[in-house]
Amino acid sequence: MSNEEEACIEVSISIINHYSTNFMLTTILILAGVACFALFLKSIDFFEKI
Amino acid sequence: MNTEILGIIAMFTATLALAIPLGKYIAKVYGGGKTFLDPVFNPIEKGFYKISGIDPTRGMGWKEQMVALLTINLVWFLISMLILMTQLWLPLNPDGNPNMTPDLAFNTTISFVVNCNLQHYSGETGISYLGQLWLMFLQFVSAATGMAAAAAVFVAFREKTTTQLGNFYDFFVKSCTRILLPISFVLAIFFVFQGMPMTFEGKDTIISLQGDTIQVSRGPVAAFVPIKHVGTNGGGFFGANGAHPFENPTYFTNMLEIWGQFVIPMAMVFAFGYFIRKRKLALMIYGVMTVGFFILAIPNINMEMNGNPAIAAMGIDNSSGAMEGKETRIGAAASGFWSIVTTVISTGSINSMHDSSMPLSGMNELLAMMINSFYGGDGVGILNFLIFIILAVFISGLMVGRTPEFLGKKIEAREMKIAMMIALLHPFLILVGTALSTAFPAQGASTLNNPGFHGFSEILYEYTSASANNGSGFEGLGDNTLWWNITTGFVLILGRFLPIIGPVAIAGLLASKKYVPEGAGTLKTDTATFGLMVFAVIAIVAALSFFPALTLGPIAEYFSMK
Repeated sequence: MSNEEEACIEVSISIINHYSTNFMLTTILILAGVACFALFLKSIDFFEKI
Repeated sequence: MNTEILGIIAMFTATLALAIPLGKYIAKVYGGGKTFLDPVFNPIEKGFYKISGIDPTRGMGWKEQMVALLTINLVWFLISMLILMTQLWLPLNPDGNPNMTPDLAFNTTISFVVNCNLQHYSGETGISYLGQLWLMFLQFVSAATGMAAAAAVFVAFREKTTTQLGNFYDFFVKSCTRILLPISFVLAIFFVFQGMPMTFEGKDTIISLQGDTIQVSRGPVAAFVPIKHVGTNGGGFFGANGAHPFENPTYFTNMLEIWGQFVIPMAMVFAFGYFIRKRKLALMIYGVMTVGFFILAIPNINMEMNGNPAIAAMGIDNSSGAMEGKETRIGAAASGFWSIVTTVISTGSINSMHDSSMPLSGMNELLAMMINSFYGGDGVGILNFLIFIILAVFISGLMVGRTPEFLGKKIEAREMKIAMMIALLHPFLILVGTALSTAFPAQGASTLNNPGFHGFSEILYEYTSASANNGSGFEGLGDNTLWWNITTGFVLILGRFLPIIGPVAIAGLLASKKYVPEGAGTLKTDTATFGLMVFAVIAIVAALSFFPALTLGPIAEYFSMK
């Protein structure tokens, strides 16, 4: 494998790593936000029946 | 008398003078009365209601109102994440500001959805004009969310027995179009004439007197700043917020911006009195809030005007006050006054660096947010105060051996449990957040620029500001990290919606109970004695919860200067 090819693979892996990390974190944080809203919706019934 | 003090008296008097008629107007708006803006907005609103299938005249119970409130906020959360994370590729980005990272977008989104505006980015380099406009939209709707929730509580206490607390969408839209928009519009005109930029062009290039080439950020600032204050949001267009000359060019704009952030929270108290036709009760609430405000504001102004003894000891002239971190065009007195106005109300905008405040001024700023109910944010301030009223009614009832009643409704175990949970949530979020950041120095302490007591105050301030939905920063903190963005993000969201749902639930549950007419044995809640009781409850809750933490921060710093 030539040096250029190795460099290309290295750059590709770093791009994939960067975006997959971002994608994972984005998904987790959006799901966490939605979970908070679900918790608040649940709290309505909780407050009524407490 | 000192002209700086006269300026403060003028600001407070002007706010009070206009808050009373505004309160009457707000009560009229929520009561379904006609307003001068109806011919403009009624046809537009009807169109929107028709498209979305909403009947604004249909009564909604408290549970239905809260579901509606949460649903629209969830939608804004999702849209906001999308805009902030893709702003580089979207229009209105002449400076080419980059996409936000996921954690920063999460923090910024929640911060603006919850009316807090804690900012871990700088407006000059961190956000596009489209992003700023989106945040401006959130500044309107987040304030209207709190006001609509307060309006539901107003209805609950006006009716003798009911399960219908008005229509959430009606209150929400009217809060935007009949209250927030017209006041913001008038302020924006004043601001443009005072030199605030209003343009969509990118950075300007100027040559300084020294011959340096400087890039100067600008943008639609005059549109953004009014709702930043009127909506008690506080998020700055620029990083330096109200200390930036484009966001607060003159002493006159400083006065207008203080008036803008102060007037609706004050007016909501009077609106409550007019709406439920119990003006004496509103006066009691206003009295307690105002006494609390003065107890915090007067020492701050005094300490900032007297200057820093450590600076004086170095032989440096300190006669114009403690001017580190302050703008000379505003001065020490007006900066000290603003620092309490912005923390008592949940605005969180700043015109001086709170990190440079005298230690006990910093403590008062913290206390203002820890109490979070002396005026408070648009709508939510009066909801927070309601929690303390419920606690005071219950304690007073126990003390004098009467059934706890408020406005003809018996306070029972369920209401007390909700009130206690909401009252304890605020200290829980602040103290647990601070404890975690202190316990893990790699995440918390390593991001501080100041060691010791002051550094601890910076951590405490960050979580207090987040939980109180205030948004101001003590600064000196490198806060754009994964830890700060995510932990304060969770504190922000938990500190917003539960303290709205709790008081609305209490009001809704009380409204559905049988009305008990006032008798000789009824505990009167519109008297100065009861006001004193409420004040004592607030003082005890704040002192017991926060005094140990304050001792480790600003109080220890004060004594270390001796």
